[in-house]
Amino acid sequence: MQLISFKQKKDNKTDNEILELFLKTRDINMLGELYSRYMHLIYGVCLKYFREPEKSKDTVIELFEKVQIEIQKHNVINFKSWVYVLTKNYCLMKLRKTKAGEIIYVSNDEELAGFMENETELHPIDEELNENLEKALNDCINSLKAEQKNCIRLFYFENKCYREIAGQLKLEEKKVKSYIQNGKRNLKICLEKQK
Amino acid sequence: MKKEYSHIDEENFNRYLDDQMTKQERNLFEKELQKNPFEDEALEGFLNLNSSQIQKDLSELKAKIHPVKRKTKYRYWAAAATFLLLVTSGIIWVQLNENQAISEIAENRTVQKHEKKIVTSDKQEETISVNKILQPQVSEQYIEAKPEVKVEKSEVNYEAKKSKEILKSESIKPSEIASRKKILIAESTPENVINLKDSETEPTQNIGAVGDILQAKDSNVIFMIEDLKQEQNNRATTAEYSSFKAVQNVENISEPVAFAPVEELLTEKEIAKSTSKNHFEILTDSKVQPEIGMPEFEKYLKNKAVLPINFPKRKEVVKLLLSINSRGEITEIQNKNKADSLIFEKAKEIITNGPKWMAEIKNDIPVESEIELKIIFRK
Repeated sequence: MQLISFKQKKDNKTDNEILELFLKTRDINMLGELYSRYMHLIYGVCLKYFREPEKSKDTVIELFEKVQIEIQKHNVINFKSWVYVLTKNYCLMKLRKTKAGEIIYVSNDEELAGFMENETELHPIDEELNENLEKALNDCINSLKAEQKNCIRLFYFENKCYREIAGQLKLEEKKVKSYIQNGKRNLKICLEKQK
Repeated sequence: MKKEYSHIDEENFNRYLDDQMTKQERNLFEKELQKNPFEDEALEGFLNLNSSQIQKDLSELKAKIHPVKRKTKYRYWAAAATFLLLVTSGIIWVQLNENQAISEIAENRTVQKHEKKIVTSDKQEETISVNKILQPQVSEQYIEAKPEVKVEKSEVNYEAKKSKEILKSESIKPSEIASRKKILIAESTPENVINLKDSETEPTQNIGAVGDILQAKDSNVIFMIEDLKQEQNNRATTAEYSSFKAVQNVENISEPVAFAPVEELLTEKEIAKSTSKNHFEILTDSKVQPEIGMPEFEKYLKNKAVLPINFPKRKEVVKLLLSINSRGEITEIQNKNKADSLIFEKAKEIITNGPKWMAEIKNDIPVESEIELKIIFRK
Protein backbone atom coordinates (compact mmCIF):
# COMPACT_ATOMS: atom_id res chain seq x y z
CA MET A 1 0.00 0.00 0.00
CA GLN A 2 1.25 3.40 -0.92
CA LEU A 3 0.74 6.23 1.47
CA ILE A 4 1.04 9.75 0.30
CA SER A 5 3.52 11.73 2.28
CA PHE A 6 2.65 15.34 2.83
CA LYS A 7 5.96 16.28 1.32
CA GLN A 8 5.08 14.38 -1.83
CA LYS A 9 2.01 16.47 -2.50
CA LYS A 10 1.87 17.94 -5.92
CA ASP A 11 2.39 21.43 -4.68
CA ASN A 12 5.28 20.27 -2.44
CA LYS A 13 3.96 22.28 0.46
CA THR A 14 3.54 20.81 3.90
CA ASP A 15 0.46 21.40 5.99
CA ASN A 16 2.30 23.88 8.12
CA GLU A 17 3.59 25.81 5.13
CA ILE A 18 0.10 26.14 3.72
CA LEU A 19 -1.20 27.09 7.13
CA GLU A 20 1.43 29.79 7.46
CA LEU A 21 0.55 31.13 4.03
CA PHE A 22 -3.11 31.22 4.93
CA LEU A 23 -2.46 33.04 8.18
CA LYS A 24 -0.29 35.52 6.32
CA THR A 25 -2.45 36.11 3.29
CA ARG A 26 -5.90 35.11 4.59
CA ASP A 27 -6.40 33.51 1.20
CA ILE A 28 -9.31 31.15 1.64
CA ASN A 29 -8.06 29.04 -1.26
CA MET A 30 -5.07 28.09 0.84
CA LEU A 31 -7.23 26.85 3.65
CA GLY A 32 -9.45 25.09 1.15
CA GLU A 33 -6.41 23.29 -0.21
CA LEU A 34 -5.38 22.16 3.26
CA TYR A 35 -8.90 21.16 4.25
CA SER A 36 -9.30 19.18 1.03
CA ARG A 37 -6.38 16.96 1.98
CA TYR A 38 -8.39 15.60 4.89
CA MET A 39 -11.90 16.10 3.61
CA HIS A 40 -12.43 12.41 2.85
CA LEU A 41 -11.43 11.55 6.42
CA ILE A 42 -13.68 14.26 7.82
CA TYR A 43 -16.53 12.98 5.71
CA GLY A 44 -15.83 9.43 6.87
CA VAL A 45 -15.91 10.49 10.51
CA CYS A 46 -19.16 12.38 9.94
CA LEU A 47 -20.58 9.28 8.26
CA LYS A 48 -19.57 7.20 11.24
CA TYR A 49 -21.50 9.45 13.62
CA PHE A 50 -24.52 10.46 11.53
CA ARG A 51 -24.85 7.47 9.20
CA GLU A 52 -26.54 9.85 6.76
CA PRO A 53 -24.66 11.02 3.67
CA GLU A 54 -26.60 14.30 3.30
CA LYS A 55 -26.22 15.29 6.92
CA SER A 56 -22.56 14.28 6.78
CA LYS A 57 -21.97 16.39 3.70
CA ASP A 58 -23.65 19.39 5.32
CA THR A 59 -21.46 18.87 8.37
CA VAL A 60 -18.31 18.78 6.23
CA ILE A 61 -19.23 22.22 4.80
CA GLU A 62 -20.14 23.57 8.23
CA LEU A 63 -16.86 22.33 9.56
CA PHE A 64 -14.96 24.12 6.82
CA GLU A 65 -16.59 27.36 7.91
CA LYS A 66 -15.80 26.55 11.52
CA VAL A 67 -12.19 25.78 10.67
CA GLN A 68 -11.84 29.23 9.06
CA ILE A 69 -12.83 30.82 12.36
CA GLU A 70 -11.24 28.46 14.85
CA ILE A 71 -7.87 28.15 13.16
CA GLN A 72 -7.24 31.82 13.79
CA LYS A 73 -7.96 31.42 17.48
CA HIS A 74 -5.60 28.52 18.12
CA ASN A 75 -1.95 27.93 17.61
CA VAL A 76 -2.31 24.88 15.43
CA ILE A 77 0.83 22.80 15.07
CA ASN A 78 -0.61 19.57 13.72
CA PHE A 79 -3.49 20.36 11.45
CA LYS A 80 -4.49 16.74 10.89
CA SER A 81 -4.84 16.00 14.59
CA TRP A 82 -6.49 19.32 15.24
CA VAL A 83 -9.08 18.96 12.51
CA TYR A 84 -9.76 15.38 13.63
CA VAL A 85 -10.59 16.48 17.17
CA LEU A 86 -12.57 19.43 15.87
CA THR A 87 -14.56 17.14 13.58
CA LYS A 88 -15.22 14.61 16.27
CA ASN A 89 -16.32 17.24 18.78
CA TYR A 90 -18.52 19.00 16.27
CA CYS A 91 -20.24 15.76 15.29
CA LEU A 92 -20.80 14.78 18.89
CA MET A 93 -22.10 18.25 19.71
CA LYS A 94 -24.50 18.05 16.83
CA LEU A 95 -25.67 14.62 17.91
CA ARG A 96 -26.23 15.85 21.45
CA LYS A 97 -28.42 18.66 20.18
CA THR A 98 -30.54 16.33 18.13
CA LYS A 99 -30.79 13.58 20.71
CA ALA A 100 -31.92 15.43 23.81
CA GLY A 101 -31.26 13.67 27.07
CA GLU A 102 -28.71 11.29 25.66
CA ILE A 103 -25.28 11.60 27.23
CA ILE A 104 -22.56 11.77 24.66
CA TYR A 105 -18.92 12.19 25.46
CA VAL A 106 -17.40 15.35 24.06
CA SER A 107 -13.70 16.07 24.22
CA ASN A 108 -12.92 19.00 26.43
CA ASP A 109 -10.68 21.92 25.58
CA GLU A 110 -7.70 20.30 27.27
CA GLU A 111 -7.96 17.30 25.01
CA LEU A 112 -8.29 19.57 22.01
CA ALA A 113 -5.28 21.56 23.18
CA GLY A 114 -3.38 18.31 23.52
CA PHE A 115 -4.08 17.42 19.92
CA MET A 116 -3.03 20.85 18.94
CA GLU A 117 0.27 20.80 20.67
CA ASN A 118 1.33 17.17 20.64
CA GLU A 119 1.72 14.62 17.98
CA THR A 120 0.39 11.11 18.35
CA GLU A 121 2.91 8.77 19.82
CA LEU A 122 3.61 5.46 18.19
CA HIS A 123 2.82 2.28 20.05
CA PRO A 124 5.97 0.27 20.94
CA ILE A 125 4.77 -2.54 18.73
CA ASP A 126 4.86 -0.19 15.72
CA GLU A 127 8.42 0.88 16.42
CA GLU A 128 11.70 -0.67 15.41
CA LEU A 129 12.41 -3.16 18.17
CA ASN A 130 15.73 -3.61 19.88
CA GLU A 131 16.61 -6.80 21.75
CA ASN A 132 15.55 -5.57 25.16
CA LEU A 133 12.28 -4.15 23.92
CA GLU A 134 11.57 -7.27 21.90
CA LYS A 135 12.03 -9.50 24.94
CA ALA A 136 9.85 -7.26 27.11
CA LEU A 137 7.23 -7.11 24.41
CA ASN A 138 7.16 -10.90 24.07
CA ASP A 139 6.78 -11.25 27.79
CA CYS A 140 3.86 -8.81 27.81
CA ILE A 141 2.19 -10.48 24.81
CA ASN A 142 2.32 -13.81 26.62
CA SER A 143 0.58 -12.22 29.55
CA LEU A 144 -2.39 -11.11 27.39
CA LYS A 145 -5.67 -13.01 27.14
CA ALA A 146 -5.69 -15.76 24.51
CA GLU A 147 -7.88 -13.91 21.93
CA GLN A 148 -5.85 -10.70 22.23
CA LYS A 149 -2.56 -12.61 22.17
CA ASN A 150 -3.52 -14.64 19.08
CA CYS A 151 -4.88 -11.68 17.18
CA ILE A 152 -1.76 -9.54 17.90
CA ARG A 153 0.63 -12.34 16.93
CA LEU A 154 -1.22 -13.05 13.69
CA PHE A 155 -1.60 -9.36 12.85
CA TYR A 156 1.86 -8.01 13.72
CA PHE A 157 4.17 -11.00 13.44
CA GLU A 158 2.50 -13.05 10.70
CA ASN A 159 1.15 -9.96 8.85
CA LYS A 160 -2.34 -11.38 8.49
CA CYS A 161 -5.22 -9.06 7.67
CA TYR A 162 -8.40 -8.86 9.76
CA ARG A 163 -10.25 -11.05 7.32
CA GLU A 164 -7.64 -13.81 7.46
CA ILE A 165 -7.44 -13.69 11.25
CA ALA A 166 -11.25 -13.74 11.49
CA GLY A 167 -11.33 -16.79 9.23
CA GLN A 168 -8.55 -18.55 11.06
CA LEU A 169 -9.88 -17.84 14.57
CA LYS A 170 -13.50 -18.02 13.49
CA LEU A 171 -14.26 -14.56 14.78
CA GLU A 172 -15.96 -11.52 13.36
CA GLU A 173 -13.68 -8.94 11.74
CA LYS A 174 -14.90 -6.33 14.18
CA LYS A 175 -13.96 -8.57 17.07
CA VAL A 176 -10.49 -9.12 15.61
CA LYS A 177 -9.99 -5.38 15.38
CA SER A 178 -11.26 -4.92 18.89
CA TYR A 179 -8.97 -7.64 20.30
CA ILE A 180 -5.98 -6.06 18.59
CA GLN A 181 -6.80 -2.56 19.93
CA ASN A 182 -7.42 -3.78 23.46
CA GLY A 183 -4.33 -5.98 23.35
CA LYS A 184 -2.18 -3.00 22.25
CA ARG A 185 -3.50 -0.93 25.14
CA ASN A 186 -2.72 -3.69 27.62
CA LEU A 187 0.74 -4.15 26.10
CA LYS A 188 1.51 -0.50 26.57
CA ILE A 189 0.48 -0.66 30.21
CA CYS A 190 2.54 -3.82 30.67
CA LEU A 191 5.62 -2.29 29.05
CA GLU A 192 5.36 0.87 31.15
CA LYS A 193 5.18 -1.30 34.27
CA GLN A 194 8.35 -3.13 33.25
CA LYS A 195 10.22 0.16 32.86
CA MET B 1 8.57 9.30 19.30
CA LYS B 2 7.48 11.39 16.44
CA LYS B 3 6.20 9.74 13.36
CA GLU B 4 6.42 10.96 9.81
CA TYR B 5 3.15 12.53 8.78
CA SER B 6 1.23 10.56 6.26
CA HIS B 7 -2.35 9.77 5.58
CA ILE B 8 -4.35 7.30 3.59
CA ASP B 9 -5.77 8.82 0.48
CA GLU B 10 -9.17 8.29 -1.08
CA GLU B 11 -7.86 5.86 -3.66
CA ASN B 12 -6.55 3.44 -1.05
CA PHE B 13 -9.78 3.68 0.88
CA ASN B 14 -11.69 2.83 -2.27
CA ARG B 15 -9.37 -0.06 -3.09
CA TYR B 16 -9.77 -1.42 0.41
CA LEU B 17 -13.54 -1.05 0.35
CA ASP B 18 -13.76 -2.59 -3.13
CA ASP B 19 -11.60 -5.51 -1.98
CA GLN B 20 -8.97 -4.73 -4.59
CA MET B 21 -6.00 -5.05 -2.22
CA THR B 22 -3.87 -8.09 -1.73
CA LYS B 23 -3.75 -9.69 1.73
CA GLN B 24 -0.41 -8.07 2.37
CA GLU B 25 -1.72 -4.66 1.31
CA ARG B 26 -4.76 -5.13 3.51
CA ASN B 27 -2.51 -5.95 6.47
CA LEU B 28 -0.43 -2.79 5.84
CA PHE B 29 -3.57 -0.72 5.43
CA GLU B 30 -5.02 -2.08 8.67
CA LYS B 31 -1.76 -1.42 10.50
CA GLU B 32 -2.03 2.21 9.38
CA LEU B 33 -5.57 2.26 10.70
CA GLN B 34 -4.28 0.95 14.02
CA LYS B 35 -1.80 3.80 14.16
CA ASN B 36 -4.18 6.56 12.99
CA PRO B 37 -7.54 6.85 14.74
CA PHE B 38 -8.66 9.53 12.25
CA GLU B 39 -8.39 7.11 9.33
CA ASP B 40 -9.80 4.30 11.44
CA GLU B 41 -12.93 6.25 12.30
CA ALA B 42 -13.27 7.42 8.72
CA LEU B 43 -13.19 3.83 7.52
CA GLU B 44 -15.92 2.96 9.98
CA GLY B 45 -17.99 5.70 8.41
CA PHE B 46 -17.20 4.58 4.86
CA LEU B 47 -18.35 1.07 5.65
CA ASN B 48 -21.90 2.48 5.63
CA LEU B 49 -21.63 3.40 1.92
CA ASN B 50 -20.25 1.91 -1.25
CA SER B 51 -17.11 3.38 -2.79
CA SER B 52 -18.86 4.93 -5.82
CA GLN B 53 -21.24 6.82 -3.55
CA ILE B 54 -18.30 8.01 -1.47
CA GLN B 55 -16.46 9.24 -4.56
CA LYS B 56 -19.54 11.06 -5.80
CA ASP B 57 -20.10 12.72 -2.44
CA LEU B 58 -16.49 13.75 -2.15
CA SER B 59 -16.53 15.26 -5.63
CA GLU B 60 -19.60 17.23 -4.66
CA LEU B 61 -17.93 18.43 -1.49
CA LYS B 62 -14.79 19.48 -3.32
CA ALA B 63 -16.87 21.53 -5.70
CA LYS B 64 -18.45 23.30 -2.75
CA ILE B 65 -15.18 23.88 -0.98
CA HIS B 66 -13.47 25.39 -4.04
CA PRO B 67 -16.01 27.76 -5.52
CA VAL B 68 -13.50 30.57 -5.33
CA LYS B 69 -11.00 28.52 -7.25
CA ARG B 70 -13.50 27.87 -9.99
CA LYS B 71 -14.37 31.53 -10.10
CA THR B 72 -10.72 32.30 -10.56
CA LYS B 73 -10.59 29.95 -13.53
CA TYR B 74 -13.64 31.68 -14.94
CA ARG B 75 -11.94 35.02 -14.43
CA TYR B 76 -8.94 33.82 -16.40
CA TRP B 77 -11.24 32.95 -19.27
CA ALA B 78 -13.05 36.23 -18.95
CA ALA B 79 -9.76 38.11 -18.89
CA ALA B 80 -8.52 36.20 -21.92
CA ALA B 81 -11.78 36.84 -23.77
CA THR B 82 -11.66 40.53 -22.88
CA PHE B 83 -8.06 40.75 -24.03
CA LEU B 84 -8.92 39.09 -27.32
CA LEU B 85 -11.88 41.39 -27.75
CA LEU B 86 -9.72 44.43 -27.13
CA VAL B 87 -7.04 43.23 -29.52
CA THR B 88 -9.64 42.48 -32.18
CA SER B 89 -11.28 45.85 -31.66
CA GLY B 90 -7.89 47.50 -31.91
CA ILE B 91 -7.10 45.73 -35.16
CA ILE B 92 -10.48 46.62 -36.60
CA TRP B 93 -10.07 50.19 -35.47
CA VAL B 94 -6.62 50.42 -37.03
CA GLN B 95 -7.90 48.94 -40.26
CA LEU B 96 -10.88 51.24 -40.35
CA ASN B 97 -8.62 54.13 -39.60
CA GLU B 98 -6.35 53.11 -42.43
CA ASN B 99 -9.26 52.93 -44.82
CA GLN B 100 -10.53 56.23 -43.61
CA ALA B 101 -7.11 57.74 -44.02
CA ILE B 102 -7.00 56.69 -47.65
CA SER B 103 -10.41 58.10 -48.17
CA GLU B 104 -9.40 61.25 -46.47
CA ILE B 105 -6.37 61.57 -48.69
CA ALA B 106 -8.63 61.32 -51.65
CA GLU B 107 -10.89 63.98 -50.29
CA ASN B 108 -8.16 65.95 -48.70
CA ARG B 109 -8.36 69.54 -49.43
CA THR B 110 -7.52 72.64 -47.64
CA VAL B 111 -9.92 75.28 -48.55
CA GLN B 112 -8.98 78.84 -48.36
CA LYS B 113 -11.65 81.25 -49.21
CA HIS B 114 -10.32 84.36 -50.72
CA GLU B 115 -12.48 87.26 -50.52
CA LYS B 116 -12.45 89.41 -53.50
CA LYS B 117 -12.27 93.03 -53.30
CA ILE B 118 -14.97 94.59 -55.23
CA VAL B 119 -14.14 98.05 -56.30
CA THR B 120 -17.01 99.99 -57.55
CA SER B 121 -16.36 102.81 -59.88
CA ASP B 122 -19.45 104.81 -60.85
CA LYS B 123 -21.37 101.77 -59.58
CA GLN B 124 -20.66 100.05 -62.83
CA GLU B 125 -17.06 99.05 -62.79
CA GLU B 126 -16.09 96.12 -60.69
CA THR B 127 -12.64 94.81 -60.31
CA ILE B 128 -11.65 92.03 -58.10
CA SER B 129 -8.35 91.29 -56.56
CA VAL B 130 -7.24 88.05 -55.11
CA ASN B 131 -6.75 88.21 -51.45
CA LYS B 132 -3.45 87.63 -49.85
CA ILE B 133 -3.25 84.63 -47.67
CA LEU B 134 0.31 84.74 -46.58
CA GLN B 135 0.64 88.47 -46.65
CA PRO B 136 -1.58 89.71 -43.91
CA GLN B 137 0.07 93.09 -44.03
CA VAL B 138 -2.37 94.03 -46.79
CA SER B 139 -4.82 95.23 -44.25
CA GLU B 140 -7.62 96.19 -46.54
CA GLN B 141 -8.02 92.66 -47.71
CA TYR B 142 -10.17 90.25 -45.90
CA ILE B 143 -9.20 86.67 -45.36
CA GLU B 144 -11.78 84.09 -44.71
CA ALA B 145 -10.35 80.64 -44.36
CA LYS B 146 -12.33 77.49 -43.76
CA PRO B 147 -10.96 75.43 -40.92
CA GLU B 148 -8.56 72.79 -42.10
CA VAL B 149 -10.32 69.52 -42.46
CA LYS B 150 -7.24 67.39 -42.94
CA VAL B 151 -3.64 67.42 -42.00
CA GLU B 152 -2.32 68.04 -45.41
CA LYS B 153 -2.89 71.36 -46.91
CA SER B 154 -1.70 73.41 -49.72
CA GLU B 155 -1.50 76.99 -49.12
CA VAL B 156 -1.81 79.24 -52.05
CA ASN B 157 -0.27 82.55 -51.85
CA TYR B 158 -1.11 85.30 -54.11
CA GLU B 159 0.56 88.53 -54.39
CA ALA B 160 -1.89 91.23 -54.36
CA LYS B 161 -2.42 92.92 -57.57
CA LYS B 162 -1.22 96.39 -57.12
CA SER B 163 -2.70 98.02 -60.10
CA LYS B 164 -3.68 101.58 -59.87
CA GLU B 165 -7.32 100.70 -59.92
CA ILE B 166 -6.97 98.50 -56.90
CA LEU B 167 -4.78 100.85 -55.00
CA LYS B 168 -7.11 103.68 -55.64
CA SER B 169 -10.19 101.67 -55.01
CA GLU B 170 -12.17 101.83 -51.87
CA SER B 171 -11.97 98.66 -49.89
CA ILE B 172 -15.13 96.96 -48.81
CA LYS B 173 -15.43 95.96 -45.21
CA PRO B 174 -15.19 92.29 -44.44
CA SER B 175 -18.78 92.18 -43.31
CA GLU B 176 -19.89 93.55 -46.60
CA ILE B 177 -17.79 91.10 -48.46
CA ALA B 178 -19.14 88.27 -46.41
CA SER B 179 -22.64 89.35 -47.15
CA ARG B 180 -21.92 89.25 -50.81
CA LYS B 181 -20.50 85.78 -50.42
CA LYS B 182 -18.22 86.12 -53.31
CA ILE B 183 -15.07 84.40 -52.32
CA LEU B 184 -12.34 82.70 -54.20
CA ILE B 185 -11.41 79.25 -53.11
CA ALA B 186 -8.06 77.64 -53.57
CA GLU B 187 -8.28 73.97 -53.16
CA SER B 188 -6.16 70.91 -53.58
CA THR B 189 -8.19 68.17 -55.11
CA PRO B 190 -7.40 64.45 -55.00
CA GLU B 191 -6.16 64.73 -58.51
CA ASN B 192 -3.74 67.37 -57.38
CA VAL B 193 -5.51 70.09 -59.22
CA ILE B 194 -5.47 73.39 -57.56
CA ASN B 195 -8.45 75.44 -58.46
CA LEU B 196 -9.31 78.91 -57.71
CA LYS B 197 -12.97 79.15 -58.10
CA ASP B 198 -15.91 81.09 -57.09
CA SER B 199 -17.41 79.61 -53.99
CA GLU B 200 -20.86 80.66 -54.98
CA THR B 201 -22.41 81.62 -58.18
CA GLU B 202 -23.93 84.80 -57.15
CA PRO B 203 -24.75 86.81 -60.20
CA THR B 204 -23.44 90.21 -60.93
CA GLN B 205 -20.07 89.38 -59.50
CA ASN B 206 -16.89 89.07 -61.40
CA ILE B 207 -13.61 87.50 -60.53
CA GLY B 208 -10.27 88.03 -62.10
CA ALA B 209 -7.53 85.84 -60.75
CA VAL B 210 -4.47 84.89 -62.64
CA GLY B 211 -0.82 84.62 -61.81
CA ASP B 212 2.36 82.60 -61.83
CA ILE B 213 3.01 79.77 -59.50
CA LEU B 214 5.99 80.76 -57.49
CA GLN B 215 6.43 77.41 -55.87
CA ALA B 216 4.72 74.18 -56.62
CA LYS B 217 5.29 70.79 -55.15
CA ASP B 218 4.24 68.26 -57.69
CA SER B 219 5.26 68.02 -61.25
CA ASN B 220 1.96 66.35 -62.03
CA VAL B 221 -0.15 69.04 -60.55
CA ILE B 222 -2.29 70.91 -62.94
CA PHE B 223 -2.80 74.39 -61.73
CA MET B 224 -5.82 76.26 -62.81
CA ILE B 225 -7.71 79.22 -61.76
CA GLU B 226 -11.33 79.15 -62.42
CA ASP B 227 -12.60 82.49 -63.24
CA LEU B 228 -16.29 82.59 -63.11
CA LYS B 229 -17.92 85.27 -65.03
CA GLN B 230 -21.47 86.08 -65.03
CA GLU B 231 -23.21 89.03 -66.25
CA GLN B 232 -25.71 90.88 -64.25
CA ASN B 233 -28.60 90.02 -66.52
CA ASN B 234 -28.55 86.31 -65.68
CA ARG B 235 -26.57 85.36 -68.64
CA ALA B 236 -25.46 81.78 -68.62
CA THR B 237 -22.44 81.20 -66.49
CA THR B 238 -19.23 80.30 -68.16
CA ALA B 239 -15.96 79.36 -66.63
CA GLU B 240 -12.57 80.32 -67.73
CA TYR B 241 -9.28 78.90 -66.68
CA SER B 242 -6.06 80.74 -66.74
CA SER B 243 -2.93 78.72 -66.60
CA PHE B 244 -0.16 79.16 -64.15
CA LYS B 245 3.42 78.33 -64.63
CA ALA B 246 5.11 75.98 -62.18
CA VAL B 247 8.35 77.52 -61.09
CA GLN B 248 9.59 74.76 -58.85
CA ASN B 249 8.54 71.17 -58.84
CA VAL B 250 8.81 69.10 -55.74
CA GLU B 251 7.24 65.90 -54.55
CA ASN B 252 4.66 66.90 -52.06
CA ILE B 253 1.77 69.14 -52.64
CA SER B 254 1.41 69.82 -48.95
CA GLU B 255 4.12 72.45 -49.22
CA PRO B 256 3.06 76.02 -49.79
CA VAL B 257 2.37 77.05 -53.29
CA ALA B 258 2.70 80.65 -54.20
CA PHE B 259 1.15 82.48 -57.02
CA ALA B 260 1.98 85.80 -58.46
CA PRO B 261 -0.26 87.57 -60.85
CA VAL B 262 0.66 87.79 -64.48
CA GLU B 263 0.65 91.44 -65.04
CA GLU B 264 -0.07 91.19 -68.69
CA LEU B 265 -3.16 89.07 -68.20
CA LEU B 266 -4.38 91.10 -65.33
CA THR B 267 -3.93 94.22 -67.24
CA GLU B 268 -5.82 92.68 -70.05
CA LYS B 269 -8.62 91.69 -67.75
CA GLU B 270 -8.77 94.97 -66.10
CA ILE B 271 -8.84 96.70 -69.38
CA ALA B 272 -11.70 94.52 -70.39
CA LYS B 273 -13.52 95.20 -67.18
CA SER B 274 -12.83 98.86 -67.09
CA THR B 275 -14.17 99.30 -70.57
CA SER B 276 -17.41 97.51 -69.82
CA LYS B 277 -20.19 99.42 -68.25
CA ASN B 278 -23.14 97.26 -67.38
CA HIS B 279 -21.73 93.84 -68.13
CA PHE B 280 -18.47 91.99 -67.94
CA GLU B 281 -16.31 90.76 -70.71
CA ILE B 282 -15.78 87.04 -70.72
CA LEU B 283 -12.16 86.13 -70.98
CA THR B 284 -11.87 84.11 -74.09
CA ASP B 285 -8.75 82.07 -73.48
CA SER B 286 -9.43 78.95 -71.53
CA LYS B 287 -7.95 75.58 -70.83
CA VAL B 288 -9.50 72.36 -71.88
CA GLN B 289 -12.08 71.24 -69.37
CA PRO B 290 -15.24 69.21 -69.02
CA GLU B 291 -18.47 70.96 -69.83
CA ILE B 292 -19.76 70.41 -66.34
CA GLY B 293 -16.71 72.05 -64.85
CA MET B 294 -13.82 70.47 -63.06
CA PRO B 295 -15.36 70.16 -59.58
CA GLU B 296 -18.38 68.32 -60.91
CA PHE B 297 -16.17 66.21 -63.11
CA GLU B 298 -14.08 65.27 -60.12
CA LYS B 299 -17.21 64.21 -58.28
CA TYR B 300 -18.19 62.17 -61.29
CA LEU B 301 -14.80 60.46 -61.30
CA LYS B 302 -14.96 59.79 -57.61
CA ASN B 303 -18.34 58.10 -57.97
CA LYS B 304 -17.32 56.02 -60.93
CA ALA B 305 -13.79 55.06 -59.91
CA VAL B 306 -14.68 51.91 -58.03
CA LEU B 307 -12.45 48.86 -58.09
CA PRO B 308 -13.96 45.43 -58.81
CA ILE B 309 -14.61 43.41 -55.65
CA ASN B 310 -12.13 40.73 -56.64
CA PHE B 311 -9.38 43.20 -57.45
CA PRO B 312 -6.34 42.34 -55.29
CA LYS B 313 -5.59 45.91 -54.25
CA ARG B 314 -7.71 48.29 -52.31
CA LYS B 315 -6.53 51.28 -54.27
CA GLU B 316 -5.27 51.81 -57.78
CA VAL B 317 -4.17 55.09 -59.28
CA VAL B 318 -4.45 55.66 -62.97
CA LYS B 319 -2.82 58.64 -64.61
CA LEU B 320 -4.33 59.41 -67.96
CA LEU B 321 -3.23 61.76 -70.66
CA LEU B 322 -6.22 62.87 -72.67
CA SER B 323 -5.80 64.34 -76.09
CA ILE B 324 -8.71 66.56 -77.00
CA ASN B 325 -9.16 68.04 -80.40
CA SER B 326 -10.49 71.44 -81.29
CA ARG B 327 -14.06 70.13 -81.30
CA GLY B 328 -13.71 68.93 -77.73
CA GLU B 329 -13.57 65.26 -78.72
CA ILE B 330 -11.28 62.89 -76.96
CA THR B 331 -8.93 61.53 -79.56
CA GLU B 332 -6.56 59.56 -77.43
CA ILE B 333 -6.26 58.32 -73.87
CA GLN B 334 -2.82 57.26 -72.68
CA ASN B 335 -1.92 55.20 -69.65
CA LYS B 336 0.74 57.45 -68.20
CA ASN B 337 1.66 55.45 -65.14
CA LYS B 338 1.26 52.01 -66.70
CA ALA B 339 -1.61 51.22 -64.42
CA ASP B 340 -3.33 47.85 -64.42
CA SER B 341 -4.78 47.25 -67.89
CA LEU B 342 -8.18 46.29 -66.54
CA ILE B 343 -8.40 49.42 -64.47
CA PHE B 344 -7.06 51.51 -67.33
CA GLU B 345 -9.79 50.15 -69.56
CA LYS B 346 -12.32 50.98 -66.90
CA ALA B 347 -10.85 54.47 -66.61
CA LYS B 348 -11.12 54.91 -70.36
CA GLU B 349 -14.71 53.78 -70.23
CA ILE B 350 -15.45 56.27 -67.46
CA ILE B 351 -13.88 59.10 -69.43
CA THR B 352 -15.47 58.25 -72.76
CA ASN B 353 -18.89 57.72 -71.22
CA GLY B 354 -18.48 60.79 -69.10
CA PRO B 355 -19.25 64.44 -69.69
CA LYS B 356 -18.29 66.16 -72.87
CA TRP B 357 -15.22 68.29 -73.01
CA MET B 358 -14.65 71.82 -74.16
CA ALA B 359 -11.58 72.40 -76.24
CA GLU B 360 -8.84 74.69 -75.14
CA ILE B 361 -9.21 78.15 -76.53
CA LYS B 362 -6.22 80.18 -77.41
CA ASN B 363 -6.62 83.59 -78.91
CA ASP B 364 -10.33 82.94 -79.37
CA ILE B 365 -9.57 79.83 -81.41
CA PRO B 366 -10.25 76.28 -80.20
CA VAL B 367 -7.08 74.26 -80.39
CA GLU B 368 -6.00 70.70 -79.76
CA SER B 369 -4.72 70.12 -76.29
CA GLU B 370 -3.80 67.53 -73.75
CA ILE B 371 -4.79 67.20 -70.16
CA GLU B 372 -3.51 64.84 -67.56
CA LEU B 373 -5.99 63.27 -65.19
CA LYS B 374 -5.31 61.22 -62.13
CA ILE B 375 -8.09 58.84 -61.16
CA ILE B 376 -7.94 56.99 -57.88
CA PHE B 377 -9.89 53.77 -57.92
CA ARG B 378 -11.06 52.36 -54.63
CA LYS B 379 -13.17 49.52 -53.39
